[in-house]
Amino acid sequence: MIDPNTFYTKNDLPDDNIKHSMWNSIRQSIFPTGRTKSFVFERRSFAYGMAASFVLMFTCIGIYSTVVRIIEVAQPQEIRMESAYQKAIREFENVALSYDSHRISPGENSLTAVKTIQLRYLNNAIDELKQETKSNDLSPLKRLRLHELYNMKLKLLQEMIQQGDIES
Amino acid sequence: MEIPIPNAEESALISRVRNGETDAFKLLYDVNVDLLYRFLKQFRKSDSDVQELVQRSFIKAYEGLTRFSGRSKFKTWLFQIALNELRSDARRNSIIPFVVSDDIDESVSEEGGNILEWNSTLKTLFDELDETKRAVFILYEVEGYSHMEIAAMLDIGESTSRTILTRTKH
Repeated sequence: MIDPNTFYTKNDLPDDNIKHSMWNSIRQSIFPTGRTKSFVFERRSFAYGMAASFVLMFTCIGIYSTVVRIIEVAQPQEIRMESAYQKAIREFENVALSYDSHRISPGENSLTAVKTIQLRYLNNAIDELKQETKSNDLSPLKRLRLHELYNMKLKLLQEMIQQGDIES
Repeated sequence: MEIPIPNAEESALISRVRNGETDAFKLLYDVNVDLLYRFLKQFRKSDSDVQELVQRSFIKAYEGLTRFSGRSKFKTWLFQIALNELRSDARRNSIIPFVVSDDIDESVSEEGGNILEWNSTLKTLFDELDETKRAVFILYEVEGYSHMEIAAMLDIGESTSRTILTRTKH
């Protein structure tokens, strides 16, 4: 056997520049789109990031709902009552999609027109009362009056829906 | 010159390459590039030809790494790929080398030809050999491969490898 160091000469070996240049060509051929370890990790990180984002999003929603619930529970009974009224009215109005108190002129005499005008007056009265003071510090008397107006509006809306005056 | 790399470490490197780690393949390249380059330099005088062969061999090795069973060393497999590339080039360019003739006299004895003292005269004679003889000679006498390994690398019979070597020495 011949000693490789005797057989091969120094001229048979590539210098560092050649080795570097060959590696660059090889790398460009086998990883043309940069599909390297870092790419694999980036893809994995992206998946982990997306999963973490979803977890974070649901956590935030949960925290927000809990905080809102806690705030609602911590509110005084009067304010909660008012919120309940407003919510109920909003729900009725959402159900009665065709309801539009401004569509009917005050000169009309039909029952529907009368009720609609009543609704408009009720809305105005509620708005005026709410504008007088902030809802959070209404006096007990004004609050009672506001609740009565809400109650009347609810009943009127309910009647109109039940009697077919407005389409649900 | 040859950087020894334990088999276990080489297997670990290959596993890392299969997992997409460029750095691991760079290590395999660093360990084997000199060995392959100096081997191929015996077949091509032009540096650019050798560089191109080295690059192609490494690229093919990377692409076929899933097929590499690990029974042989990575270097052996790489050499085999390089030899295939040499053969493909020879076929493409209609070069006579790498044609194993059928009329090889397998009765030729190896005896008496085992001890060689490498010198400039032999080097000159070596350069005149065809590529198959050169490949068998280097793989056996310089790289230390067995005839069985050479036969697998060159896709020839083991006895043919023996005969070629004997004839080359004569």
